[in-house]
Amino acid sequence: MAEKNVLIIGGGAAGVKAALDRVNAGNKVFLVEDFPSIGGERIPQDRLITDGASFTAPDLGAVKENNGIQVIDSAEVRSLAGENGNFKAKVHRRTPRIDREKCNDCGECIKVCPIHMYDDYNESLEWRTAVDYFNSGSGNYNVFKEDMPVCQRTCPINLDIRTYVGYIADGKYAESLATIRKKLPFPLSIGRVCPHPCEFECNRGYKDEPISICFLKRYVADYEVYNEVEPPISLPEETYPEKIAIIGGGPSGLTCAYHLALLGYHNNITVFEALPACGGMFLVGIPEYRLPKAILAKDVEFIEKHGVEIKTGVRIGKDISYDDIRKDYDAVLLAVGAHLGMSMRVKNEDAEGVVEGVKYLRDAALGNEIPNKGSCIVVGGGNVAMDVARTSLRVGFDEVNLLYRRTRKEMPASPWEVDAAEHEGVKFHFLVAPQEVVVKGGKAVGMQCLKMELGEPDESGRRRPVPIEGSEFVMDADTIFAAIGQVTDASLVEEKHGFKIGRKFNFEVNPETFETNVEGVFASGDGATGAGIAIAACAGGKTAAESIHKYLRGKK
Amino acid sequence: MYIYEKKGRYIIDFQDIPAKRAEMPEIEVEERQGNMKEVETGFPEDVAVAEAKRCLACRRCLGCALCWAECKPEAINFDMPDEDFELEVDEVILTSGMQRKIAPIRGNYGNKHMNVVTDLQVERMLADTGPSDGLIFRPQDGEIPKKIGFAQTFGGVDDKVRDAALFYAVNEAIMAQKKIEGVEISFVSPDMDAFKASAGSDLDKVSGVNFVNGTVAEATEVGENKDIELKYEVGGSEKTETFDLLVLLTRPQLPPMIEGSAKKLGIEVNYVSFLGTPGEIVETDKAGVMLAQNM
Repeated sequence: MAEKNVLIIGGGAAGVKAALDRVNAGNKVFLVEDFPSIGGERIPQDRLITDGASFTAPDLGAVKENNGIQVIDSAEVRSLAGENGNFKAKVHRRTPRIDREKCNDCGECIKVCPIHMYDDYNESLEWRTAVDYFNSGSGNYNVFKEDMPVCQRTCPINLDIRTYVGYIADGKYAESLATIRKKLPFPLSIGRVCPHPCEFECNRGYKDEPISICFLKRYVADYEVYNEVEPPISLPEETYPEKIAIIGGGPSGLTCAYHLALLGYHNNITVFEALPACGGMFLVGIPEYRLPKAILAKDVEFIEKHGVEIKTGVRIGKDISYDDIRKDYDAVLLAVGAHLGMSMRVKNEDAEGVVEGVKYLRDAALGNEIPNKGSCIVVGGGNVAMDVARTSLRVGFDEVNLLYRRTRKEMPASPWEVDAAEHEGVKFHFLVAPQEVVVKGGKAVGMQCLKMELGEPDESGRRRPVPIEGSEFVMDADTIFAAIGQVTDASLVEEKHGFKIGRKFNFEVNPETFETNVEGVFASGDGATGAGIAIAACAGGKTAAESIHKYLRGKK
Repeated sequence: MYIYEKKGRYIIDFQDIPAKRAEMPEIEVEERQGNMKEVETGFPEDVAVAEAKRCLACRRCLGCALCWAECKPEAINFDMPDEDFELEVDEVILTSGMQRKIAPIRGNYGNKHMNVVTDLQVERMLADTGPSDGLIFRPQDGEIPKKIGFAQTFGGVDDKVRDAALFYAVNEAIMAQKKIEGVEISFVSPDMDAFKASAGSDLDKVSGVNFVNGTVAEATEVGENKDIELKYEVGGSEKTETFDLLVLLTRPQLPPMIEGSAKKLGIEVNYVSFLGTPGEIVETDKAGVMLAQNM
């Protein structure tokens, strides 16, 4: 038989045995393993060891001595295709950072390494160092290096979490806060409302529970406020003359203003805010019980002190025209958010008593008149729906019913928000879809609903709800809130301005630079990306600031 | 005595750093009615500092180069790049790989208690090359357990996968008996009766292990020693037993790389495909692609 090349995927006991079998039959073997070493002893899974035999161990010595087996550890197969006799595999191998030809297995590197991390080879039962050989059988030394801790990599604005949490452990709160503020000017607000994707990735979660990263950020930010420490402001000496207009004083617009100030544009930045105060969704989207207005004002004040002029109560397209702004400023950022509620697409949706969830939250935040009597229905399963429901309980509704067409598991809201809403008395109705607003005398008096069951998963991976025939029922309500998503009000610009507008009426941008298709105009936050989490809006504002800087300097 | 010489050597957590994350204090629900008072009140200083100390600072290589300076043969090279290359082969052999899923005990995070370990961890403990030279120990204080519970917390898997998981864990119980004189072992599995039929007379030879056909309900930490109190149902009644160490069985499954590779080759495999005669290489529907059976 002619010599064959054989690819074996998986370097456990079975893979090693197969490799030896094949090579002994005169073939050449590539043994690909994901882990940095191969082999290891195993307890049998196919029989009881009442006969006294215990571990089975693959013959790693034979593999090492055999030139016909090429071991490719720390590697993954990225593509694999072809037919018998002609397979092609693309392999990616992570670097071991140690030249194994030169390594003499003395182990001195392990003795001096100051890093201690859970030993993955030993199922985290003890520590290993960042240099390790994983199992004495293979002796494959390896330096485990990450570009960035996983929490930081996950954070949309790339906060140096390891450093600021480390400062807190050392009691250095001011240094910790300064580390956060290198990137994020909203530590008080984000420290309260962030859904913290970082914590879901935290490596400590493998051992017991992830670090409470978000609330630690809040701690150092609160520390400054409670101890009445004047926040340090430091601005660069080198300044630039160009003027920048920022339309929208929310998370994204203000973060952009802050970073432009740090880049040298302070005293040349103007923020135009339509509402009576800055903060955007922090102000009118997140209810007071999650983020007090006085606390948010501290973050805004900190940004303002960086030479950022804020003009509130100025709506573009009404109080001042887009054209005037274009004329007076060298660059413009559109950070107008997504403040329009999406339609439920049910009959009688425009009846009196049917209210957009986002409008309701905005009116509640601004002290405007809001419905607050009797019972209400909240339609939706996201965080806005939770905010609407929890607010309703507080302002006077006797009964708050929340309808969601899938189950609790599929709800996009943060689980702790769902728990809090339930704890406070919101009644959840899962697998229920609204069908038609029931109207009496021109006013909504209830919702006709359909019961649903879960069918096959759709492309979002969530199981698609399917109506159960004949399951219609009516739920009474004095007010119905629709909280099923938000879109942008792009009406501040006209068609003649030539902006590309996306599916959610958002300003389409280059996702790397946040430039719009109009020269000198940038867009970030919900108004560019569609409704998302606050820290992502802040991150967009920071990137936009860097792009505006590049654009303005490039023009010189 | 031997045990006491070992004491303290395998303590893996610092006792002044909590295992559980800090909980955010909140105002009572009654206090929230009719007002917009902030619900969460913030960490006190001591809580914040203790929580921050839980951070592992993701203890990865920081590039300090101490090892580089120490390495006499100059084998360490931080700039060594990742490699991408293509292999051309005549045959592909897939193995099952090593991935096992932990199913937490219903109602709480039973697998987060210090004296709850997985069967994979016990395998490392039992290995002579493992962290304890082949001794089973309690992670919390390094003591040798005198009473061990094994608990299967998953169900509804293929009979062959179930048997593989149970053979593996029962073998650990057999080995624990040999290592620890007079150890008491209870083994709770909802599939015990079915497994007995598969294992045949060999299981009857195992004496001293209390095999229970029961369903695990809850595991809680009790007392200063953080022993584990296990509640389980057997024959319609609830039983409670306290163990020095509780071992959770894990469910074997295929890792994404194996599943992905099979899919790319156009064949369907699952974990059962690898459970035949140990060490045998079997053909698949696709010529040139083979499966190496689990050892």
